[in-house]
Amino acid sequence: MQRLRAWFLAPGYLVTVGLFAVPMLIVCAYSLLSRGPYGGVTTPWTLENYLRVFDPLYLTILWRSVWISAVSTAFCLLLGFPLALFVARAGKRRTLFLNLVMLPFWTSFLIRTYAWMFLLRDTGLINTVLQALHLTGAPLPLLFNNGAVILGLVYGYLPFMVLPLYATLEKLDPALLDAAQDLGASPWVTLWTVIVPLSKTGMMAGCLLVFIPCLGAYLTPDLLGGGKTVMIGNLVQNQFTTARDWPFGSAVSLLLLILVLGLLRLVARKEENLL
Amino acid sequence: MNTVLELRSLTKQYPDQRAVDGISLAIERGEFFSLLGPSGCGKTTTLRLVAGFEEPTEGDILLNGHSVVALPPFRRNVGTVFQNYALFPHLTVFENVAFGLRRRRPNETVDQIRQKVDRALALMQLRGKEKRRPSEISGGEKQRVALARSLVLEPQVLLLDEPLSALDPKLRKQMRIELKELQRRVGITFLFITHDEEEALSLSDRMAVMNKGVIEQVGTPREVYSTPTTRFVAEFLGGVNWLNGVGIRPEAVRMSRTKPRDDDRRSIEGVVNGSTFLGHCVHVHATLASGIPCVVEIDDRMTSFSPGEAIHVWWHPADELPITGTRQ
Ligand SMILES: Nc1ncnc2c1ncn2[C@@H]1O[C@H](COP(=O)(O)OP(=O)(O)O)[C@@H](O)[C@H]1O
Ligand SMILES: [Mg+2]
Repeated sequence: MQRLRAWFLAPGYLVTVGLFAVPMLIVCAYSLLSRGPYGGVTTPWTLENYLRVFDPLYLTILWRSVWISAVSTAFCLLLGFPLALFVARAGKRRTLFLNLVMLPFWTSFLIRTYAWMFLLRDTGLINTVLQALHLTGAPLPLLFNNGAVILGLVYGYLPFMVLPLYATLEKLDPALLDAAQDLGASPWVTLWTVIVPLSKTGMMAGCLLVFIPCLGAYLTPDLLGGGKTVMIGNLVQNQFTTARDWPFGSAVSLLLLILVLGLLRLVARKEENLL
Repeated sequence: MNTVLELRSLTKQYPDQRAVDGISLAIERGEFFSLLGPSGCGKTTTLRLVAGFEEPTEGDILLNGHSVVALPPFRRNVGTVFQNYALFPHLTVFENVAFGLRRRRPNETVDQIRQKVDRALALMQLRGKEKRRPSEISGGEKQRVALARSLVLEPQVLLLDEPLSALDPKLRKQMRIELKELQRRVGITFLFITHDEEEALSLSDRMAVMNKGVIEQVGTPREVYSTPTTRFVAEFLGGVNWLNGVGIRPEAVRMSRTKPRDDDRRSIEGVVNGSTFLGHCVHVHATLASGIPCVVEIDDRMTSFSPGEAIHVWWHPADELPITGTRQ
């Protein structure tokens, strides 16, 4: 029995150790080494890579990543909550709406981001239509700025907000809403005093599921920010490509990991049964 | 007496069926009124119409003489005790009871609200549980919180949807007594919904028997039990023997080994099949001459019958149930 158990668990262990723990250790080691002449790493061992993160240039990037992720998460919550509530109360058509929410997953994220570029660029659909209707004289600067990045992140991660919210709202006993109204609460008051407090776990889960990938995003800021909105993900990517500074790239990605784990600890302590 | 709640040809049509089919009722102020009927007959729908959670297809609902059909639930002065209590799980017992006061009495001070909640909790013997969450109290306590939460608002009518059915049988009997006692004390009109005839008979001042969306009979428990006007009401409220085409309750049928001398027109002969001991009495099962089954309630301290014995049953004409209705 014990042996059988070990056999069944073995593939899981192998994958975890081989594809997660080992690369992790490699990255740890790299972050403590010096930069090689053509990429790669060499001795001596040093802590300098970690100290460089506190350079104002990199702190600015870190701060930008945090606030862009926070704003994107807030928009996701603002848009996702009513949507999840609507789907949860749609009765028989629930499954249909749920599938619609997940429909974007059927196309590559890259292609969908390119689609946004075609919509937003100076000669894109939106600007063309606006100018054809003589609503604007010159093209609006819709692409290659923070706004475009936030739009892209909200668009990309909205389903991750909607799904956990839907899961909590769907379990909400409709009798509680009747009870609230019976005790004199208007639908609006019921929303704030019953529905919102009771979907707190779903909100926390959704916010984490959106905030964490936003923090590490590099494709969206790269394409929609046009290199002007540099986030941590872009910084890491740059170190491994054009800058050829693998040790610094490793140090930054480890710091990102620590940041995310710290955040998870903070939230998980408050919400015991989250996720 | 004055009418507090009146239903006028109230109808609720769902796409696939008519859950409530033109019922009319007048409930007096301070009354304990029960709506009794089998599962699926439309009791909950009727209650939801009165509370305002559903809109009637036809008919009218009057509270103190004014139509409330156009009002949303949060503007109707009725309270509801839900079948599963529907306590707010994220609020304490105190907050649950204060919820309605905060919404419906926005001008009251924090102190006034606290006093009212304290009084309601004391009335329901919930002192000391104020800070608990609904998940941390027993079923009986949950029910008392649900009652306190509605009663603290002093509604014109309190609607109760099978409030005892979620409790275990021992507790159910005890709560039944407490509920009646409570209603007498607070003097609020109760519209009590149940599928349990014993509950309806023992609690009500008056009751209505409902079947397939229609009210079959309204009256005091004694009237409805002793003088049911339809076959459904007669059979729903207790055992009925159908002898010579008339209905007679088991306790009204007499049984003896010899043929009764007077009034042989109403006596039938038969054979005993067996008997069931019920504690306070015994039910003797017999088959009568024409093959009709018959149940007779006897006091076994007086006499007993064994299977196979030839017997005669008879009854007084006054005990024949006056069933006139043609409804099945
Ligand atoms: N929302 C609804 N939609 C369609 N049919 C319903 C709905 N609610 C109740 N019904 C039907 O109406 C009938 C009466 O239901 P209900 O009032 O809950 O009965 P009771 O409370 O007496 O058991 C049932 O047959 C039920 O299936
Ligand atoms: Mg019901």
